[in-house]
Amino acid sequence: MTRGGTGELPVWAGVALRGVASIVVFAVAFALLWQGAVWALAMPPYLMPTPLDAAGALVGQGDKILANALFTLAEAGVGLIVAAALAVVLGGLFVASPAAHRLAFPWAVALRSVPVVAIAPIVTLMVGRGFWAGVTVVVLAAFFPILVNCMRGYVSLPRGALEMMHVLDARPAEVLWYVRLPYAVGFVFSGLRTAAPIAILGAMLSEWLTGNRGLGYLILDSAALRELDLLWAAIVVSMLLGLLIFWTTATLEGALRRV
Amino acid sequence: MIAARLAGLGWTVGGIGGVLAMLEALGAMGALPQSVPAPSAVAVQFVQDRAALAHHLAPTLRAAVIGWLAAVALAIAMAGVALLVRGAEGVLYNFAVGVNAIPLIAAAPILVVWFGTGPETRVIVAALASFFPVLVGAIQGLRAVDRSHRELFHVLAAGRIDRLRLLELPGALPYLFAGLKISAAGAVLGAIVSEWVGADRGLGMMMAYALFSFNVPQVWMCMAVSVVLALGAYGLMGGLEARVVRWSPPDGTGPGDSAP
Repeated sequence: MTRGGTGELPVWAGVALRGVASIVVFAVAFALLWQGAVWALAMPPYLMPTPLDAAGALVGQGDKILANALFTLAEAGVGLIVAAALAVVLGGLFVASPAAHRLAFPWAVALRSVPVVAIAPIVTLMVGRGFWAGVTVVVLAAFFPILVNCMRGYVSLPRGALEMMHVLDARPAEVLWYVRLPYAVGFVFSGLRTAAPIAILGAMLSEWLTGNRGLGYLILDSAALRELDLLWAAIVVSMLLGLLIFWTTATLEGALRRV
Repeated sequence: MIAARLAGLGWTVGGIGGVLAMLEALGAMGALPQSVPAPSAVAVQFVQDRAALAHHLAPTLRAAVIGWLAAVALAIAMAGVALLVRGAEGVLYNFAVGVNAIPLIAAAPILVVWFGTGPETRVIVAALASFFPVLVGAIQGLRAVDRSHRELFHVLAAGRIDRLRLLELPGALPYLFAGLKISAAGAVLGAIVSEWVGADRGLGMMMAYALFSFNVPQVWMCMAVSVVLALGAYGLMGGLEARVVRWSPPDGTGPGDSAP
């Protein structure tokens, strides 16, 4: 909310920079640890490739990895957007109507306690094997954390804002549009931040079962074929994907809070 | 208080019963999609498959229990070290965050390469899935001692042992149990997921085969069993907590009280 102390840089740019820096630091530290482990334990290449081998696979089979990574990223991204839209609408409904809350909220909680592991096969049965199975799993996994945050955002308003709208004789719809929604945006994004890593994991988990395309499929397939260079390259990319989507949501959150 | 809880329970049971009855009625009318069986079909499948289910459940449960016990022992030992050795807490915590940052989805295929698709892989994945919540709960709990209580023990000149036995351990228990509950469910799910990478038998394997052969009632039956297992593991720890932590408020407002 306050202006950053870093001179000309706006706060969100600082956040983004720190995000990039932390990803780079993480990658370098990871590669060093990895190489150290291979040397220290004298790992033969058929058990564990070196970072250089994996980098070779990353370059050599780059288009294969990229295509599958983009597929997973698209599943996670579309799923997160749908989950956020659902959460904003249903959260508003739950806050506005106690009856709806009483009737439907327990189902949201029940949905949350059904693990993704159990949901994924059912979703695959119902939606079929493909892109939308992944998206559906992501929506189901990401919906609840966003919903809870969103509802908290609708409720936790400064008193003055509501009183002001009351004085202005605003209708409920206007209160929703001018006060509740703007205040909820930040909360929705912190929910998205929590849900982002879950989304990537959920998408990859569903690809294990659907087994057509995507990073999860690539990981499982390369493990089965003992293409270890490709396996490790794909794993590193999946971790970077998680960091990327996390920092994207964090940066968007920072940028929106400044507005 | 009790009446409110009973009313809540009534809503839950009534809601679940209502949905099951509705599904059954839809099934009888033939209005259900092909991928959704009537609840009675799932029940029939359960009775038919009970021998196969027991055959597949045994290794999954064994892996979950062994992995969970190993993770709990390691996490509590680490929390003890963090309590006794000044400065160790930060290092251990960072280590645990690092372990937690390894996605199971990435770890399981690597473990399969290293250990094969035998029980070792499943035990390790179950342990990985349950380690972090216990450690966080234990460390948070040992740290959560009330300042004024600590001062009282100081004024009473309590020894190190007494302080641990009467102050720090009891104070840590609610936090520890929050971690134990989540991790018990996590261990079951970890064992199931690891079987998806490859195993000769196990609940996860049964689920995957049912899916691949489009045996719809069997997929739903496996799902129901895994949900019951995960919630049962959670509930088992909750029951143990209620017996051990008698001083904690009974309304469920303890720290970190949430479903898995």
